[in-house]
Amino acid sequence: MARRPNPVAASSYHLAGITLSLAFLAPLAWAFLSSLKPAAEARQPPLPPWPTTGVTVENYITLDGYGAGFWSHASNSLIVTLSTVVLTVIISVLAGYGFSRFRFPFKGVFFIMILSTIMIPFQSILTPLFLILSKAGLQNSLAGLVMIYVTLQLPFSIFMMRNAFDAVPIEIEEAARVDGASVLTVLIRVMMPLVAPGIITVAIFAFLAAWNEFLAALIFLTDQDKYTLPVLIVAVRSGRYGSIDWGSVQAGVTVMMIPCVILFLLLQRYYVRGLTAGAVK
Amino acid sequence: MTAPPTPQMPGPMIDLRAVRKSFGALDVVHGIDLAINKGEFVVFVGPSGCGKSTLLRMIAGLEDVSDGEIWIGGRDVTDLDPSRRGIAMVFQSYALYPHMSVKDNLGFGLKLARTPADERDTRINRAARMLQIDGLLDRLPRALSGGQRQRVAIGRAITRDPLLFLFDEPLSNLDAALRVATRVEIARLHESLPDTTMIYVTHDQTEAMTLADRIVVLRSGRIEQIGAPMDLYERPANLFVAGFIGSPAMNILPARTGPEQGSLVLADGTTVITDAATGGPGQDASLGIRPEDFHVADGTVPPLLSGRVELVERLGEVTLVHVGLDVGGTVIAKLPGTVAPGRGERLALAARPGKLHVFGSDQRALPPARR
Ligand SMILES: Nc1ncnc2c1ncn2[C@@H]1O[C@H](COP(=O)(O)OP(=O)(O)OP(=O)(O)O)[C@@H](O)[C@H]1O
Ligand SMILES: [Mg+2]
Repeated sequence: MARRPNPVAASSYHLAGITLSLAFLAPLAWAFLSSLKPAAEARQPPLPPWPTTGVTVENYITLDGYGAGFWSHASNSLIVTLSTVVLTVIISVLAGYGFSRFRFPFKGVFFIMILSTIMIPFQSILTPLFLILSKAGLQNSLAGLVMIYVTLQLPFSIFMMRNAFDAVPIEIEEAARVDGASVLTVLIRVMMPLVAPGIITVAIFAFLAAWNEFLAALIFLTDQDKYTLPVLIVAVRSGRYGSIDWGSVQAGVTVMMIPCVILFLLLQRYYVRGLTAGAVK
Repeated sequence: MTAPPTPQMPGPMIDLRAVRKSFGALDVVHGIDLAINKGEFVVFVGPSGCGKSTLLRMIAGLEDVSDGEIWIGGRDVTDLDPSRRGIAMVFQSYALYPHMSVKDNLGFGLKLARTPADERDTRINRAARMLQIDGLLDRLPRALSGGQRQRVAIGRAITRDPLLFLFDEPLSNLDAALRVATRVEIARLHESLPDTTMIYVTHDQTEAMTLADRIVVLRSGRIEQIGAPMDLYERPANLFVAGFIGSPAMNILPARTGPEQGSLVLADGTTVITDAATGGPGQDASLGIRPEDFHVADGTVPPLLSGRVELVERLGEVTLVHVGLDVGGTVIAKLPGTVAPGRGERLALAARPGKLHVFGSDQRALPPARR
């Protein structure tokens, strides 16, 4: 006998789902709608959230006119973010694999030391970092910023990747070794696909952290041309003639959201993917 | 399978020379010497934890050798990476690559060896037909049953056409019926690959008896006996092997050597005449009788042992009778299925002197006396 869904339960389920979706989507829509308001209206109290005196893209044009131009800053942000993602993934995959599979002296101590850096408040090491970076000639450079971001991302990422590798049965790796694969081949052709969900998680976290990071970018980038988008938006906010340009801020926010939204839409399913099912037993 | 070793070398296919293994302070394998010829099917048996897997994994190169040497195909491979030893291994847990289809699982080793695609396909298809998994080639491992997974694991080893095939308890995750079927298939596989040497680890003595050309019985990292299955069955070298091979296990009774050559005196003073060279009188010894070597004493021969029936297990073609002996202790007799003594009944058992096993005070089998 097929069970017919209870109509009350089904509709309340959908109602709850729709309400939650609206709650999460509202701020996004708000930012987007506000970015379309003309300058005069943008300075008014923010209700209603949609433009009432006509729609305009002037805020986007203002945004582009600031500093070295929007695309220049967006590419700063992209360079920093993508470099952070790539470096974080490479290092955390290698380190996680090492911590998971190799035996070496003081392994546990090293691992705890790496993890414990999560507990150090970032603000407290700003001064030493500044000194180190200027000694190394990396202050006011995107490369220096990338190094800071990667360092901050690594403890969590290594932890994540070690757990991902731990979850893969060792026999799979041994089978590949016997099949004729070198250590590196095993890592790339067998292990990487199996820990892909972990890699994607690490990459998403690194992406979001680097894309949205503000404090370090503000402090270490002194040259306006090198600003990343978060710093640019704050600079835009103060406006050109002392007044606050809310419209352009909302335009900046809207543009900054786009990659994040795309990333989530593309990769969300990997979060819950369990690839190892059926490998052993 | 890079740099395939030259199999034409004279001498054994595999040569273990004083191989030892310790994990930290724990000695697991104590100096094993063993030569295995090309095409042989050798089974390692022994109780759990005796070091069977460790020994196999050292041959595969998955475990470092603490001391000694391993030679395969005339090469010293002691320090060679597993990927370069030209071997294939079937794991107890199958260890299929979960992200690859059955076909890619079978072809992975060939791909690594840069085998041309058409030859790869030929070999994959041949192995798949042989194991009757040719309908499953496009599936992922998670969409297979346990038995099918095990076939793929075996197929993955076959396609590479290795010199040496290693199996570590490949059947222990299968149910009883499938285990028998797969066992027969492995026996057939061995027949169809007469040049391939196989080493098979199990603690199932039926698998050992049916598959092996030679059995290596291990205990606590030492070889207790090496021999053809029937050799071990008929002439166990010591009490351990006697108890390990055969089911139900050989009955063992404590005894002392008697005054005459070959005579044993049991606990109650009964004298038993055997073929063994028992040496001088008054030494500790053990008398061993396999359950299937007993028959009911019918009056034409003097009974060997008698006692009271404690338990009767009727298995159909045979009946297992547990007899509480007058001399103390219990023996199991495997009698024809038609025999069904009642519980508590008295039963006299006999056995031919040639079927009696005698072990000395050092637990070693005593050789037959020369007449
Ligand atoms: N990596 C290891 N570290 C420490 N001890 C180990 C390790 N691997 C195995 N041992 C020990 O070595 C001994 C032999 O293990 P092994 O796996 O070879 O036994 P086995 O004969 O295969 O047993 P089973 O029939 O249960 O599989 C055991 O006492 C085991 O605890
Ligand atoms: Mg084992």
